Amino acid sequence: MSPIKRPSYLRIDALKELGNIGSAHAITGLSELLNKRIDVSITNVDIIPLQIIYTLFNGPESMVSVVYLEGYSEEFRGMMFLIFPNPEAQKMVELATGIEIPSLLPSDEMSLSTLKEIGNIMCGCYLNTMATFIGRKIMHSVPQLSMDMLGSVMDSILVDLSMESDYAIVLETAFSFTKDKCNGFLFFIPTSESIDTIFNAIGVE
Amino acid sequence: MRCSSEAGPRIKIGMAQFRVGIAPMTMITMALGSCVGIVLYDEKAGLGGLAHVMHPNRDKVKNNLNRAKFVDTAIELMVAKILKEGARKERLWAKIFGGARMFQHVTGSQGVIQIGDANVAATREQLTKRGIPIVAESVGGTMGRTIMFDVSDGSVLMKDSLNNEEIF
Repeated sequence: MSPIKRPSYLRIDALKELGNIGSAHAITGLSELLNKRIDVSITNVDIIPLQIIYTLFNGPESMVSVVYLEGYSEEFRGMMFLIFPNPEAQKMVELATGIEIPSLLPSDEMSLSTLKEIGNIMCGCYLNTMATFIGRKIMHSVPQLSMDMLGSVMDSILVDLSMESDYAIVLETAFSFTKDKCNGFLFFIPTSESIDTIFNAIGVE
Repeated sequence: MRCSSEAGPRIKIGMAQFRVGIAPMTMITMALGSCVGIVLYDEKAGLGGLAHVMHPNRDKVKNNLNRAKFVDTAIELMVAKILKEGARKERLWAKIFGGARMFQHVTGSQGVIQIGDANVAATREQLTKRGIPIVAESVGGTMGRTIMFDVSDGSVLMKDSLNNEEIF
């Protein structure tokens, strides 16, 4: 059972538009950093069971790098995370630093810091767009990184959300570098109170 | 993946689920992060249970219909079930896994929470309260864990995210 009410189609459309603009800014930020062309394959907004996130890539045991941060403002709180499967995360580090690394290790501070910065830029751009739309200043936390199995990382993030509901409104963006066969996911999950804040601010009934 | 014995069905236990079964059977729960995997076993009866719990306390949570999600209620349900199947309380022992810190700090609605530590503490408390000894454990740390519980001998094969394997 889900205590989250399904928003009207108009509201879903409004959120989709917000998500599109937000992710466009986020992708532009990354594209400028890397000086590479990036394609956005999906931007989607839906109420989904949180469990679905665990089925990305090759299921809960796939090794991923996740950058996580939280945006908050008055009556607004949303979590953002950027997920790369690990071979791609390594590629990202190489693209951003221009240095080839033999493998991505959790002990390599330079790689970790690079990934955090990528997360910082993308999520920062995304949240700034949100802030413009809702007319509020959105602060965000320091990005944190975890490199581990998808399921293990996500349960720490989602445990707080899942205490409210097993479903959430998720704004999802999938993107890829066509040439380098590199892809990643950006998620934005606003809390249910924040959804109301967004709609009130943009005036969608 | 290797397991100490391959006999019997392999059952996957998802998040916020638990299962009680009789040998031969292997129960698997994948990618425990801050969640805790609780194994209960009665060797003589060949009965075992595995729960994958997410949160320490059911009372503090609004979305609490699934009782297998919480340490306190999941242990209560699993103990009741395993005793009903024919296990004896004085023969039961437990092994616990998980409760890692995947991030330095994750902010929750009640401020900064270390949910992994809280889960482990609640698990110990609930098991101690019921007089069930913890005979082996691998908790805390910063790495995810996958566990495979062989009901025929009570052994648990644990694999971490660097593919190190260890038998408990």
